Amino acid sequence: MDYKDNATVDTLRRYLPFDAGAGNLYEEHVPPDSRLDVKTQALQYLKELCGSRDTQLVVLTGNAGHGKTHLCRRLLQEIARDPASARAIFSDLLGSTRHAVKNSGRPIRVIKDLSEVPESLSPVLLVRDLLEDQESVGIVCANEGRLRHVASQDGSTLRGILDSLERTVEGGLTTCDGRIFVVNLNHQSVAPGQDGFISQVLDYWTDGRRWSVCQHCACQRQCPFFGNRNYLADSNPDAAPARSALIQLVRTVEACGQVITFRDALIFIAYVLTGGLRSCRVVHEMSTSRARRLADYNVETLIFQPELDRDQTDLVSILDRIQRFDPGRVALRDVDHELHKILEERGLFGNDSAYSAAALASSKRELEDERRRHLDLIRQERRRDFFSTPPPGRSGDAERARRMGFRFFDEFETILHSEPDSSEALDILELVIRGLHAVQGVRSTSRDLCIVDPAFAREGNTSAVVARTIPRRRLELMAESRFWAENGLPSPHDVTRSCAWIDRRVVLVLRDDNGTNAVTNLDLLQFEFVLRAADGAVFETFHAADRRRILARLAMQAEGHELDEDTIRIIDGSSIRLVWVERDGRIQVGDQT
Amino acid sequence: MTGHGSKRDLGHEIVRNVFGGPFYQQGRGYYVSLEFFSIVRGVVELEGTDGASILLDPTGPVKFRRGGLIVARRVMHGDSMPEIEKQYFRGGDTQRALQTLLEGLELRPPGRLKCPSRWQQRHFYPYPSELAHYDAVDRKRKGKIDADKRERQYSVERYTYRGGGGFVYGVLSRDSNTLRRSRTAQGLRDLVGPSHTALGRVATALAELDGELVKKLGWYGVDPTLPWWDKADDESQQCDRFFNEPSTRWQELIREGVDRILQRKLPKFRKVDALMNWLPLACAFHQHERAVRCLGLDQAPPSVVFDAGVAPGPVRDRAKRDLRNAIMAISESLEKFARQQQYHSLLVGSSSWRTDPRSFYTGTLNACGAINALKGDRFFSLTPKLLETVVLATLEGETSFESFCTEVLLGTLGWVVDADSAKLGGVRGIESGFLDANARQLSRKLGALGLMREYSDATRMIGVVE
Repeated sequence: MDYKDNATVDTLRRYLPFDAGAGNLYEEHVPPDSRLDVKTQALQYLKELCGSRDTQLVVLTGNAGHGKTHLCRRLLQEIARDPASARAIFSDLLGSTRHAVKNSGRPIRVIKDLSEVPESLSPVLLVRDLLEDQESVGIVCANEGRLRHVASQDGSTLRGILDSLERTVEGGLTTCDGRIFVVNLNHQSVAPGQDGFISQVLDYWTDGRRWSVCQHCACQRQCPFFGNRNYLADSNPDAAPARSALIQLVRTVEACGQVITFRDALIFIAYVLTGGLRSCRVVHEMSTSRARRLADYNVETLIFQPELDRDQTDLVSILDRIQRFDPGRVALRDVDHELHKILEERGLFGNDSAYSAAALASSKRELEDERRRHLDLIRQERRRDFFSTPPPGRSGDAERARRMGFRFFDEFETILHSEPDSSEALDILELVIRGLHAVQGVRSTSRDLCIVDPAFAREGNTSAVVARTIPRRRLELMAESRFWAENGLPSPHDVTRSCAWIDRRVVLVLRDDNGTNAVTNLDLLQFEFVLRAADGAVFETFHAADRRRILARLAMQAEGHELDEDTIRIIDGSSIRLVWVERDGRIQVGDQT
Repeated sequence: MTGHGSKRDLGHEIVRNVFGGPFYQQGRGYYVSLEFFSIVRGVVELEGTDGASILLDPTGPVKFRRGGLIVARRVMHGDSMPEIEKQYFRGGDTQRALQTLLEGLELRPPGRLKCPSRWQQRHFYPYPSELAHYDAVDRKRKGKIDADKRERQYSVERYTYRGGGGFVYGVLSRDSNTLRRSRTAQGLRDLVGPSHTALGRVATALAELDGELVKKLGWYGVDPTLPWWDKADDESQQCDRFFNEPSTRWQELIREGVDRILQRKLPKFRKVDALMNWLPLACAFHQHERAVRCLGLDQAPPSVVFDAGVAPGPVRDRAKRDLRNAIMAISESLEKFARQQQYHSLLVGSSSWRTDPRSFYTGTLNACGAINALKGDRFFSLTPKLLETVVLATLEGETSFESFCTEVLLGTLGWVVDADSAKLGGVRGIESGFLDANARQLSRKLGALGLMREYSDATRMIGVVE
């Protein structure tokens, strides 16, 4: 067999930002034949908005790389009469062209990037013109800072843009008046489930037709490209656990508050498939001279032990985050026990041939080498196991999360998906209350949420004064989207519909006479921190910032409630004691009954 | 000046002349802010809730009531006081319950591992305001001892408060911006006035017992229930010669920061917390700036590199070196001044007179979270506590992350964190990639603290949600 070159590898290389050949990362430079047209909810929503008679202006905002330009092109391609006009948006900087729309809709005017419009052309006037043009629907792609700057220069007309922006951040709606819409792509998830963006990209790139040439390549068995493709291909039934594990890793990063753009995701997938190797030719050369090195280009090693320099690691931004959840570094007795057995059976730990004296390490250095070797082995095996074992489904996700170091992933998911008054949610609420007590430095058995006087809120305190007690029946834990939905008017324009959405935070909600308000919100990592605190873990350095933020939020709930109380309630271990001053100045102590 | 006097007095004189304030090891860290709160609270107590003369007279000594919260601190320490217990504590285990309560209100200096052996080494956090208190100690009774009295008397006097708080008070009261000064005074009055909380009422009741205690046992020196001033206050508040010299950047920052913190719409506790950190931090950096000025090393205020906590590397190495240099500068400035003044006796024998101020510097920075540890491998580091304080004290409204690094951290404070500020601050020899990673770590910390809002285009705005 001869060596073959696969064109897909070359396409993938153009998604890697390691050299000047990374043209495919920018919509303007992608050749029409290699465009990756993935179905997204944002596109669906955008089409819906453009079809509505009420829509006047749609603002597409989000970090660079979310695909704002791509969305505009797809929109024009799909709903404009002349598909060629889709290409015109790249030269029509000012939105002066009215792109006619099929069916009976109004024409569309697009400002592709507000940041590119120089001040001399007055971006304020351009946006105002779009807004006042009743005959067409305006679409503006803009980063939020630029948009705020432009809107703030115009007193009243563009005020609606700022209001809608605020609503997307705080109220979970895309509009406040039904005319101006803000689609904030930072809410978009690249891994909302097994059919999200990452999944579609994997399907596209691992499609068997793209790799058929490799079947006839002499290097097939050693080739990391082909190996990684097979490892993650949907067509390969054995690949399902690895694929699902990869998607869960990315979703976990998102659930911990990190925004991942489509560009980040494309870079990541291209890197996972190629390992940064530039072409088939490089692999062919290596297969003859450095064949053993090729084995290091497997998916697990590429993600968790990448041989990238610092600058390259920065460019594959998801890597840095994913590595924090490296299953290779999480020691779980039950898992490790099984893995040890496997390694022993394979003879990898058996080099010391039944502990013979000759095989035992004799010097400190040898001991250290042996320790390192064993550690590397077990870490690799843990990673391999993470990618290959657990079945898909809810329990599988929880098991994988456990191997990433999350003990309370299942509880987090329960809150996201169940009713706040279900028995499971109420049990978790109790744990969260206990965790918040621990974060404030008290060990209270009270089932109500005691907000400790800020003067006492320190870890390690043995006592505390209660500034406010919130009865448990007034508290609920729920997903952020649910909180928004309950807190606002029913609207067809909530952000969860505007793009591929996942809930990344749970909210502790207080319902009282003043309405419904959030005591605090917690992403997956903060939730883990609070629940571990409930279990007795004390974090003095790690999570110090999260702790301070939670305390500041709780202090705001306590402020004002401690005034004019006559009695101090001290939480002293498991009991609550009362202290007050008599009129004659004597100090009296009693127990709360 | 002449080279006469005891070595200790000469040392103090040099410290005052070089740094403009009494910065000694004993008064390091939070003792600066504790003393400051006790002075402000004492002025208010003396004049009723009005406290009209707060920061008013920069020339005369400040008269304030020096409540030592002796009974409260002894109860916290677990001392038995039968003379008080029987009469004023009702209920079987009142003292134990009070001890539990008061222990939770104690200010624990960072790095303290053991509980101090004496009550005078234990202090309350000055929140609620009724817990602000002055130093007090046990003194051996002089002269004849009455049979019915114990062998010791209480004396309200300097022990760990060495004048740092007085220095801050002096700086604030000499603010030439009268509008800001009166605004600060009003803010302080609001902060240290009666809290109207049950905890405040218990603290007041315990403070009143101090009078009963000294009535029964007598006191040493001055009656602590009366207003008086200590000649030692002159050290911190009356350094007129110092205040006539060009002020450091940090003197102005003390005024600006205190004003900004007090004007924020935040719970009182957070204001107290921020001031507790800001005041000693500013004193330590003021000390550094004065040292550098004394050595004539640099015309511009010094810049130092801060590690945001990535990993060991060139940034951390530089942060270590900068800290080492700062510590050296403090020590050498004192030595240089002693040589100039021909205090030859100081230059031989014990060098504690110059290691003491050096320990003030490191101890204070450690307490405020500006260095990683008190001992061992130390470097300038940005901890969450420090970041929160800096944002509260220096930021007006919101600013972008980039300008926070270049204009606030570098421009205002002289701290280098990212590549741009390194360039502007003249810090060379660190590859920009390392500084970028440092800046990313900083932004993560700010995000976790809730002090940073990330807009959708990765525009990061730093500010405080009030």
